[in-house]
Amino acid sequence: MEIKLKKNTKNYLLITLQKEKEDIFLQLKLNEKGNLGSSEYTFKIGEDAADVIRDWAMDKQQSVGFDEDYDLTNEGEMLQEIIDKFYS
Amino acid sequence: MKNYYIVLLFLFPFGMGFAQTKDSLSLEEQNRREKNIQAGNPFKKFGYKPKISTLSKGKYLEFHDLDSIVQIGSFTFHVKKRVITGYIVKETKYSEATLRPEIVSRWFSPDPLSDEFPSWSPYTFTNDNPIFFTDPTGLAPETIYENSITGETVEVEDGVDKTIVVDEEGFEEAKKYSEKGKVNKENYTPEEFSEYENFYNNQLYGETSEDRISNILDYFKDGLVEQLLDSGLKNPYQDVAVLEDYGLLSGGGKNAARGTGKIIKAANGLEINGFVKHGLNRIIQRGISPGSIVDALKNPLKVGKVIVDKLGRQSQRFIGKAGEIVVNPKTGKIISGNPTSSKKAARLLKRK
Repeated sequence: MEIKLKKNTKNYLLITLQKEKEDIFLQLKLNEKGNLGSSEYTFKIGEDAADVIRDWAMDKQQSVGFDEDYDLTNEGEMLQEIIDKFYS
Repeated sequence: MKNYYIVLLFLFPFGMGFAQTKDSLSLEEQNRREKNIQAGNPFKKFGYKPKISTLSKGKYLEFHDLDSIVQIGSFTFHVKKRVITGYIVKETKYSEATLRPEIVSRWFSPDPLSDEFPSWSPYTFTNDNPIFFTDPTGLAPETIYENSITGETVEVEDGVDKTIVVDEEGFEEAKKYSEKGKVNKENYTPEEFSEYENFYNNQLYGETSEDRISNILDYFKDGLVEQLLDSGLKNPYQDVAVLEDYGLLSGGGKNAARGTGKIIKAANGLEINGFVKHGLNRIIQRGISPGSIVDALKNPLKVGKVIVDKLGRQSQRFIGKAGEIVVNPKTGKIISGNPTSSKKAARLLKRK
């Protein structure tokens, strides 16, 4: 499947995955593709790996994604985008 | 004479054939067949055995319902003496009404109002839906209109079990409908029925768009309605009503249907009682149905570990077939929700 992410989200995903899930980070990095004339980045990834990333993002959102009123933090919003985009 | 011998020669094998058929029955089979035949003998107790007509000569039991004592529901009944001779113990312990073995209950009689509701079994309670409806009076389904100022109530037999808090004007109107009798074809013309339907809906959800939005704001108090209306839902009011029926929205403002205080008990015993704003917003935006939420909580394919966030709050994820619901186990609120990917659901189902 092909997934498009905003630049901020892409950077956040890669940086965080590099620290926490190196194997998935490598898979993404190998398949990363910048879109000319667009601020979005495209990744090609298998459905199983997408599920792993989505699962990871949901856990991550539970731990860092909400402020004291249970509204999304900046990090939470990026994780939300990942959860929605990696849905298959 | 020669012809006579030839005829005898042909008849001999047939005779042998019949004789062999009768003799070939074992003694046990002969007794069984005799017992089946004697089941139809009305003079058995006098020791007299008349010839009993049967179609299968005792091969099958052709006589039924000759017992004096028969089982009717959870009773045994003597058909000649016409008295109840006993109770079926199993049904008193395993109540069909409650499905809880410790509660003993039994319907003693069919619903006296069953003639008025031919499409329903005479043994149903709250239209077979005790989660959605309550039946405080035990009578026909009715809507109870409660005066928001005085607390007085008036009942309208309209086939819906609801309690609606109304203002003075609405209460006076409800009184008129109550006096008019049951909402049916005999008492109401189609126009009058339509008028009552409008009245009911207006009292439940509000008369004008502003009222309705104000009512929903009463629920959420945080502007979620704007997001609801922008989310492309065809009927946000209905969705909210469905969620309320599941008991997931607590409270209720002016003109809003009262929450019934229902709590969903999750598979691990957690009591879920509502949403935080983000949780409700997410499940509506992502189209996770109330049924999927309840299914994920009650029959999860997997329950995630408890995660503690940077503010020290706990959360736990219930992964169902169609939705993944994140809950704060301390407060019982749903804080987020996402659809379950089909591949993941299939994988977890297989593992289960």
